[in-house]
Amino acid sequence: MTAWRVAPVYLAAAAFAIAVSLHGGDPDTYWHLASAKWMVDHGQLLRMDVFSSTVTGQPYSVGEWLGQLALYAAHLGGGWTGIALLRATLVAIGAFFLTRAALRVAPAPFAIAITAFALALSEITWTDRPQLFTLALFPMLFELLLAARAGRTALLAAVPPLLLVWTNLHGGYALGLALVAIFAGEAILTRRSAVAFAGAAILGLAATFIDPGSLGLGAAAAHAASPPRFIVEEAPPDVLKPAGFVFAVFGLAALALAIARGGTLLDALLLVPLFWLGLSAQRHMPYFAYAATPFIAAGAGELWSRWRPASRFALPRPATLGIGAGLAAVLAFSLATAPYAPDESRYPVAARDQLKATTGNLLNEYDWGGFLIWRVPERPVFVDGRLFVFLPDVLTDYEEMVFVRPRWREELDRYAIGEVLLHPDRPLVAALRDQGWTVLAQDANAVLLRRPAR
Amino acid sequence: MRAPLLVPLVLGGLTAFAASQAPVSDSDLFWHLTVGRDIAAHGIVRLDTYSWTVAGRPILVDQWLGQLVLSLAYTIGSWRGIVTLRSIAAGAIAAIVVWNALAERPRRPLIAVLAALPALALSRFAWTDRPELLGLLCFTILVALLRAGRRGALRAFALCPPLLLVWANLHGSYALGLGLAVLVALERMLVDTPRRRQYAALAVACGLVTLLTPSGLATWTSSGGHFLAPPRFVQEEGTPDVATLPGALFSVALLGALGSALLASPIRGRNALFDIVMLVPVAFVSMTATRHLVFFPIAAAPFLAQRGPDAVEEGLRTLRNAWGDVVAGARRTRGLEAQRESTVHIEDREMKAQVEGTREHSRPRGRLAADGVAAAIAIALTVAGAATAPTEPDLSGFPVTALPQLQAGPGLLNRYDWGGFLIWYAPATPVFVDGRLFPYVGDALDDYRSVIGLHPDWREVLARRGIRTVLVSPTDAIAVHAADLGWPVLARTEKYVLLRVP
Repeated sequence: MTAWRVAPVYLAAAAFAIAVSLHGGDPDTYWHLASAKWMVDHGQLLRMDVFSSTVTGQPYSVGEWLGQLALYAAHLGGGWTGIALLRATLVAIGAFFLTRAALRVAPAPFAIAITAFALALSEITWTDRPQLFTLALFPMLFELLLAARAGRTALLAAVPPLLLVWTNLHGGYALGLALVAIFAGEAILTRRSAVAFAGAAILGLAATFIDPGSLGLGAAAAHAASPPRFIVEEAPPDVLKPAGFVFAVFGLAALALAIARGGTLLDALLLVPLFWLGLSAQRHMPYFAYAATPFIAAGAGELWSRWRPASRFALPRPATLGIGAGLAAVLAFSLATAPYAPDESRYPVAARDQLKATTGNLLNEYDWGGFLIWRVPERPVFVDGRLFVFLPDVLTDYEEMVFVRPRWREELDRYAIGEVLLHPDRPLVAALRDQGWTVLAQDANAVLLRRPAR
Repeated sequence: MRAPLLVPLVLGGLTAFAASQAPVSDSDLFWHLTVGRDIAAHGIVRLDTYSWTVAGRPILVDQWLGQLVLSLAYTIGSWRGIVTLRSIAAGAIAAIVVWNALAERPRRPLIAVLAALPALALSRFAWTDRPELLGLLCFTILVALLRAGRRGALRAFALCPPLLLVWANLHGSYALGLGLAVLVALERMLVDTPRRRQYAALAVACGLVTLLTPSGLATWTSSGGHFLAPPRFVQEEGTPDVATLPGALFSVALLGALGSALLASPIRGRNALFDIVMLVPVAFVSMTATRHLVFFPIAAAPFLAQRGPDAVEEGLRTLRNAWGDVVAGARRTRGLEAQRESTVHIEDREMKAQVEGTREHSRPRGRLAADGVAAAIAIALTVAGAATAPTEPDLSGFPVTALPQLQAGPGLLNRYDWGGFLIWYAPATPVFVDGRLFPYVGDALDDYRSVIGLHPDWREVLARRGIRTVLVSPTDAIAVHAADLGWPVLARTEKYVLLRVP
């Protein structure tokens, strides 16, 4: 066993230390927690809306009931610290398996460096939501399939149970299913362990149907093909921003290495569709980077060995121990100093008390819906990050009002909006001020306006 | 082997004809035309004279030659002249793209056309009546020159500096061409070491000629600034979206190139470096903004023509190897014949080309006749396009009927998209903002957004700027709110509303 074999553990530890140090406070975290709390309180799955004034009672499912319960269990167990530890653990699991996958085919320094870049890119999705499970399970399944392809086909027995759990954790299970299908397709086309891979794919597919609250493959595919662009993470990658730039570097490095050294059928089956997926929305970028990591690391290692054939990448045992000790210290420091409480500075904190003291239908900023569901449960929201249940009518009406389009007054009356909680620079705020609405609360983030008495 | 001209010329002619059938309607054309007319009359215009918000401030002069060409086309043939210029440029782009692809597969015109298809389809979105289209033509020519140089026609490299000289005065996209030419020169220095001084001189010459513009050194900084910080609120400067048709076409080319490179047998060693240099930087530029998408499919067409069939063949070979015992013997025989026809290594391909080239020389008359007929067809199609081109611009998207109501002098706040139209059609009424964009970035653009979007300071901006009339869309927040406030309506249609500020 060489010293490099501990690299997956080291990268996992480093990823844990960074992930635990990040601020929580994603708007969707709150409604996921509220959904799980409702399920625990009522002893049943949440299958209809109970949080809004606009679609209350309407059936919906985001297909993530188990992920929501896991998140809530972490919160019950340790409050926001529990959430942060769950986040860091899942990120670390992803880092561990991704490093192992890269080390299969590439010299350790290249495997570690490229893996680190892929993890850095994935940081944009380290938010406290069930999607964290996909971030951990994708590399786990990828590494499992690579191991099976290398001869350990018995590992394929783990595919169906893994997909069963994943399906109930997060809608990203469709990615896992696609990964299994790609490996099975390659196995069939090349006639290598075809039966084992095909069997795993069929049983895995069957397992994804065992989900009482599933999003459904059709819905997951439709979401990927037609992402709601007004949500930042669903927007196309911007290669002039840091995460988009790293994604572009991964894509172009894959292209350059493919031109220089070619690839395999599996490389093509993996990288081409996942590159398209990454181009389709920012939130999908990490999965291409993950899939490309072994290919790029191997290619970079091969080019290096052509240039410097005599290179040896031995790591002395004292160095290994020293790095381990350093990482342990960083880990301890991160755990001790991590800001476990969520960062709520971007939310309408100043308006919270006023909202609790008043009644009436509220028109709220889309991004604040989750926060309000958790922090001000007395006031049903107009719209929040659950998105699909609000499509298309409620969201269209929301935009009609907030952006002061021609029917804004009719919509405001039709929904009987009594209070409006928006960013101060929204057009509707200026219009309502001129219409004599009263300012109940205001700070740099938000203004709460009340309809004047008729 | 020289690529035959029949297919490129006929496709170019068809493209020219198709491009000539749409009327002029681009808002930016109008201010380009105005600037071009003023350049012809008074020399290069360096200060703004068309707006009342940035009047007298310096403006970019990096497209002066393109503006002059547009103005010349208008002088010669009015709006039909503009359409004909567009159709000639679009046709030339299509012909050169197909020719580039065909040069890699001279005996497989269908493959060349398929490889060029994403570029041809995507170039449709670049058929705008602006210097930008001429810049795209220059890029296409540059790709052809660099590829021809790579194939051994060294004189093609010598044509790069003159091309860049013209391009740098036509449009800011020359920066991409300069980068590409310099990178290819560096690649050649590594690969073709006996000529490395010539390649170094080429790179230096390419850089120096781009300074021969009215902007001098500033031409580099303006292009760089635009590239690194594209104004995302302008639709064509937005991030490329693969869920739209242009984005989907780009992704076909990009993923086709990636898939072909992965599946086809690799070209080992330094031969691969040329393709990397030609494709990777262009792919990055294409990913920066929607308007840049078209560059990559143009650069990738020859690569796709060269490696695509190899990739398909390699995939089939994998299948045959795995399932050969299942497939019928006759089919296997056909497959082996096809494999023999496939040219995997570029050296083999070049050798074949030489042999075929010798054969071609033995029948030059037939070839010349075919090329002549193709050229005649292309010219006929272009002339037919010019003859049937719309003679009037399509102004349905502009506030035409508001023009008589506009007051002379400053005070109008107009919609961004209509600025160019007003500069041409209402010269007595200076604009608040228009598609020239960069002079307005900062105060003027912020103030425009404040009023249009009803930001908290919109009233203060109205007063401070002395805005007297507002010409906007009826669905803009300011128009909707102005109706609530009872502002007098001077003119109104479904497309626009002209309001007087009380």
